[in-house]
Amino acid sequence: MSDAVAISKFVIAFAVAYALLYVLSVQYNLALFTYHAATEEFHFLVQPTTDGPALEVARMRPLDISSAIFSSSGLAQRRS
Amino acid sequence: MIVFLLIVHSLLAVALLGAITHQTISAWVPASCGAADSFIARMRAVPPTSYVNAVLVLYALTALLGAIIYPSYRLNVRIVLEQMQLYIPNGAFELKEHFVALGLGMLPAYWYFWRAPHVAQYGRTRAILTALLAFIVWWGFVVGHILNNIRGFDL
Repeated sequence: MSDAVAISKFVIAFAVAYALLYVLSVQYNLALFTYHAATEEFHFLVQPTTDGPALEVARMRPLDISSAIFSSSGLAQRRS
Repeated sequence: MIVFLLIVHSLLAVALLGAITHQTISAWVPASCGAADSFIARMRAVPPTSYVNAVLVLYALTALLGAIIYPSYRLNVRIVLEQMQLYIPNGAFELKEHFVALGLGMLPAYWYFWRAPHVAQYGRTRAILTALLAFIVWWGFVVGHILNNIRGFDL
């Protein structure tokens, strides 16, 4: 097999494998690192949020986000 | 600083949009010999290979800048969108993130197949890869602008 054919097969296989791995990573939340933007914390692999949303793949439900904001700003106590 | 980076991000996106659109048009409907010297004909007649490096660099830079300013969007914009139950713009932006990430994985193939533009058997592959990247770039551009100007849409 010539180099050109081998490279063309590799780049196509790479694009397909990349897409499949990306879908699996998103679906199962297989993040290499987590960045907690609110607290500016950086962790390897997936780390649960402590305060504010985490940016691994960031799949929180609206209710989770609201409660995170209200609890961090003290609004939760005022609301209740 | 975030506003400055956002403006640079959008300016890079404009340049990328122009490059990939010209390349896609010239890859799918190249100008025929003796075509009229119209605006459309000149647009079709651009040499598509001249855009390859520009598209690669601009795509990577635009995506990188987008990633740098993303935490600010995540904390200040997306939360509000979700609380206002604006699920369509929010979902459109999520699709943008996924499309751009998938486009990054296509860049090696895009680079390789445009390296040898004289190989006729890869013509359709080049055209499809370019069209996919053009779709991603247009989606990202339009959705990014809608989100940036969402308060003006009276949603």
